[in-house]
Amino acid sequence: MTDVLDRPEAGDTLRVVGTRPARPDGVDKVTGRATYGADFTMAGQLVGKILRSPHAHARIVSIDTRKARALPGVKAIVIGTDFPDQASEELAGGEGASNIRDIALNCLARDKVLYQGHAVAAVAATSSSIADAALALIDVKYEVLPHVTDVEAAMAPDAPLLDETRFTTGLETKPDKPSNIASRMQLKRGDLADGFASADVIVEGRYITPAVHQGYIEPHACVASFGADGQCQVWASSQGQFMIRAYCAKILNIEASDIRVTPAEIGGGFGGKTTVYIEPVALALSKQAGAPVKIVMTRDEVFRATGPTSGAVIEVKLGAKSDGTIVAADVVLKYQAGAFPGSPVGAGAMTALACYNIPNFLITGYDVVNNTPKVAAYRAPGAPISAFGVESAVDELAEKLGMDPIALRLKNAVHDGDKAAYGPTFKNIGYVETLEAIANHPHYKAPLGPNQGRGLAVGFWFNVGGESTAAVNIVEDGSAVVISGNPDIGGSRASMAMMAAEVLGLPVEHVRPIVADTASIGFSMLTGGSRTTFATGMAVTQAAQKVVEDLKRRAAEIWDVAVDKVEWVNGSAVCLDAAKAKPDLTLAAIAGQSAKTGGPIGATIALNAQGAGPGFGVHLCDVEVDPETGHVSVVRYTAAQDVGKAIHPSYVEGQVQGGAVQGIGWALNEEYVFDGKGAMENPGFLDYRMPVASDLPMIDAVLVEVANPRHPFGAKGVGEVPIVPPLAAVGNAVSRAIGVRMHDLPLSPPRVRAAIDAG
Amino acid sequence: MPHVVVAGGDCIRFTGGATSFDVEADTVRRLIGALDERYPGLGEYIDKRMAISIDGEIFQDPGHVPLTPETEIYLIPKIGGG
Repeated sequence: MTDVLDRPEAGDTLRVVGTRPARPDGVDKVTGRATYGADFTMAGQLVGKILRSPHAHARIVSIDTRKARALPGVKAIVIGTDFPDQASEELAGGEGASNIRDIALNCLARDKVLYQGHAVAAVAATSSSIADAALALIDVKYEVLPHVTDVEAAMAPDAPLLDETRFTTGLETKPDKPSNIASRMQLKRGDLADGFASADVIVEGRYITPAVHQGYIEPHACVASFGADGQCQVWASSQGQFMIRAYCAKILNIEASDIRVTPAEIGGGFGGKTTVYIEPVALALSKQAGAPVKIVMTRDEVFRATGPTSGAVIEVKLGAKSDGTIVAADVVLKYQAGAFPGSPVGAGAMTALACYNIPNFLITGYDVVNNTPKVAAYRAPGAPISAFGVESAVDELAEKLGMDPIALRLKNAVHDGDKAAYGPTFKNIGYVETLEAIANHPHYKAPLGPNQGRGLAVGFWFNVGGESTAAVNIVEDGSAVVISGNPDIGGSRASMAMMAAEVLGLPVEHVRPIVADTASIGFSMLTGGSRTTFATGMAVTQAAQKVVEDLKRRAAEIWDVAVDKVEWVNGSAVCLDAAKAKPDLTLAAIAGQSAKTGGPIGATIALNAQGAGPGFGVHLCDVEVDPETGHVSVVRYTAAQDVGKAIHPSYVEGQVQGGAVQGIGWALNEEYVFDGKGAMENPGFLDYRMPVASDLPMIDAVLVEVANPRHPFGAKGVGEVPIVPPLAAVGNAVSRAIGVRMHDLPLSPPRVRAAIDAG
Repeated sequence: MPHVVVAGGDCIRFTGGATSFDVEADTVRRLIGALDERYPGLGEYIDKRMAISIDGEIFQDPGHVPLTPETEIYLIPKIGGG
């Protein structure tokens, strides 16, 4: 682990930022007192349950709910046509604009079901067993249609069409036939043919990654109450209470200010809780029943009906000079979107070559609909997939050239002033420093044992800023409350409290961070995109600075000196007027007489944060392969990352470790498996195998701090970068261990054993 | 005058395939307006779907940002995250 001291280093002017205080949410979580989505209850609440399609693709001929409605205890039933019919319209609500019609149709199908598990109807009843019985009494008649789950099969001209009116966009000319390819995008630079013609060495590969789920431990859960006066309340676990408000308001045609959403504690999201599935349904049921309705998904429902990330095919061709200079790259990305357009292929394309300075390239991405659940964001959406292809190819290139993998990457690395493959010019990046951190790490030179291999891979993520609101209020005893609108999924409460404490000069334990509901704080974009510590942290810092200015003004008033004769030092006002020697005024002393100096002390800042610095990660993985079974064990793993400035190093290390572990699971175990009818065969954690602590060694996190000058403390987003390199780091390690290039994930024992046998 | 390059997204649906333009504008808001006048519908598409990189810094909503003739501008798909 990185040795970051829990006290300021010599010469460091920071007192709180960069230390490791106890997390403010820790006790609640380890004692079970934290209130997650499923823990909330209301008097008189009903049980909501959802009927889901048994078919991967079918037209809904009719839905007869009469028998179910007649069942005693059934209080409400809704189907898709109970929602207002939405126009196809982009709505800003999550991290970017999403098509509100698609989101509504994903919550409850209207004319067609597009995947096995697609919601068709919902029931609210006085008990769970009555709700189950009611679901069984709903008679849905389907016209079953041919389905397609594989991405390349879905792209074929004769594939079953999910939407006969969809024509591929992004082409030079409008096609004359509909297609499951929703869009095509391209990024290009230079002359690809010239580039490959000048290459001494060419590698080419076709790689496959399966659809994988975010795997949050807490299933989606909510309680919704639709008041007789039209005032609605929702308690839900999500990555954004304002996102839930916006989507519910639009889907149900309710004024947004009439919906108050309270964020529950969240048991993991990783991007998967950046949209709605059950909240509009629960509100519609509550309206009809006149009582609160609680819906809690089962794990089976989470797998079958909530977003995985795309399964994909990645084709990569690289050309290089014999000295290792990469002169050409051709990358083709085919990403599953699931039932509705919107795969993360755009980000996959933009990140694919972001670590490399290559004069000639073409990146082509396809967003392809198919009969699987609509994909949702998953930690650095799209980037791990393209990185698996590119980083595997770069590793193969290093082998072919006989070059050290880090030396090859350093030779082609982007630096400040280079144009990223997606266009802009890089500034204040720490990629080379991160590569050097691994090159100089003892792990890189440690000997390998029998049947072991070492893999290296790099990764990039943009990080974003965006809209945030935060308030800092001073309590009468001199402590402080920090209020933000971002659910804490990765330690944001701790970092908000620390940044406020740093500015106010308070011990961090005297600053209480709170995540507020939609009626109690101004708008904040959801927690995602590695934005919260950067953007909301900026709002908190500015609010605290505004409070300090006010405290100085009040001290000046109390002392009857000019305000420029007051300095704020370590939580106290210091009088600089030599003519009026005054003892320092502590924050508590000023707060205690706030009524005499203008009333309550507090400040709110709302901003749209810009200047998020991009992040780079370099991961090094040692594996040991059992040649008899093909089982792969990760025996050592080191992950270095440019983090800007670690506000709370333990949390940052936790992000790096968590991202690496999720990526290792993606590489070794996880995949959606469908039967011949398009039904998922492994919708549970027994058959969908995610790594657990006992599977893995300690992930050694190395924090490289190249400050972001646009953040008050130099922070960059850290949550997403660490899931980008692991797929290829593990794949490269396995390939080197067995001497066979591995192209398809997961690297399950049968697949590895087959590769060994095929030699 | 500022030079604009489209890097990704589906802007060519509006531009007939063009991916770079010189636009007379001194703010991003005016630049988007000018592009929309030249290619009807592109302005709304940019507002909803595109981020704008200005001299290397990615802005999600940069309407107020001033531009100079030397400003480097890339239109890239809006970036979300997980």
